[in-house]
Amino acid sequence: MIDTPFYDKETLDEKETLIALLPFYLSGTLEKDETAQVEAWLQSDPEAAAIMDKIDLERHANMQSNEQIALPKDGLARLMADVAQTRQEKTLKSQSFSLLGALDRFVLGPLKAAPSEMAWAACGLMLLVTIGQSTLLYQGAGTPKTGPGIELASGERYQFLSTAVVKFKDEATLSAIAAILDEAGAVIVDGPTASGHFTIGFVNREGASALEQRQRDLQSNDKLIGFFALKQAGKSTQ
Amino acid sequence: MTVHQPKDRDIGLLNRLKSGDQSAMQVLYTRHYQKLYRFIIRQVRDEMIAEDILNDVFLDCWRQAHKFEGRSALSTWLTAIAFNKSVSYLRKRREAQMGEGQAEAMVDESDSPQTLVMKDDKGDQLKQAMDELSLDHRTVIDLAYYQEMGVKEIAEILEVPTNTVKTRLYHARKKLHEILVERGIDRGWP
Repeated sequence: MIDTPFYDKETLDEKETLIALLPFYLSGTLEKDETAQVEAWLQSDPEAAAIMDKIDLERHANMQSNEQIALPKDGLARLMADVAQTRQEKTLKSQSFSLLGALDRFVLGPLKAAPSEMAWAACGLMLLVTIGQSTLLYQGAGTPKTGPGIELASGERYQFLSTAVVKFKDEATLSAIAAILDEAGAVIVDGPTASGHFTIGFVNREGASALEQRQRDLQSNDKLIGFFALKQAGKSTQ
Repeated sequence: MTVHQPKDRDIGLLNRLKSGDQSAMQVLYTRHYQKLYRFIIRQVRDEMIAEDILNDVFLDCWRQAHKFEGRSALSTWLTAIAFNKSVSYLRKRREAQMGEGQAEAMVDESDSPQTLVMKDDKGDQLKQAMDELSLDHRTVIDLAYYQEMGVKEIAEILEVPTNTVKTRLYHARKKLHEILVERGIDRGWP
């Protein structure tokens, strides 16, 4: 039964209103004028104190009933993983959109009337530059940062469980790459190198036990991943 | 020495959230999750669903911190989000069950874990009777007693006039009395 029963009349007489205000008086949440009304009633009507005792008992029982409910254990870890992921998606989206807009203006626009071979070439370029730009977000070129923690260009700090070197297949689109990295709980840390390799970091999501499975899933995606090698303590193992 | 009220501290945290400070989210969660989770689970009566809704509430807070204007306490804002999500879930569940012709399989709201254990103690009888109230009555009792919210805050959360809060609480208590009388416990009304 979800709806309020039909016999809940919407108006109360003066005494009923005072009775309805008592729980709020006990919790100290009444406004000044209503507090004064309740206190005047408590002083003038001996029955009022007895009602207040009953309400206090109900309140106590309700408190106990609520306090007995066990609390979730890993809610905070789950929330923080989701928050980190939200930030990652937001950053990727905003940067990708700005890049796509620029490419539309400066690359695709002039190519609209060009032959189909040139249009395909432009698409390839767009993909390459898009991936490149999303990588620059994560501190850009230079030595790959494979330590346990890393600060991204956005100011976020990630703690990685492990890192890996990957190369995406030429036909992989940005949205497909973003989706599999998201699913694997990984972010691009560095790259691409001259050979087109990226360094990715696996964020701490469900704990280390699920990490291997996430890595295996990513590695076995032969539609998008051309090369995958885990990095451990400064060396790569394929 | 300046003593900061909880409301002031929440606003400070919210400002940090707006600037993308994730550690502020952790503090905010730690401060509010207990009461929020218990409020949600009393509505939906399913631990996994309650955990999902709780997570969604805080994610909304993270994403929409900029929308909070500070006209009410943060706890009121969060509880209102939790209430709307719980009601939305219950409505969808009811529609799905009705759609599948399984109205008879609907969860009996009077069957909570607490009702499975019968005890003679008066306090336990009261708790049990509270669990048997309708969702509307139970919610207003929880908000007033456990969440310790005022008339205006409850009105804001439930999106009803303040007078409705008073009448609903009055009738919730009256119904509680009727349930106790049915069980042979007559402690007199009101």
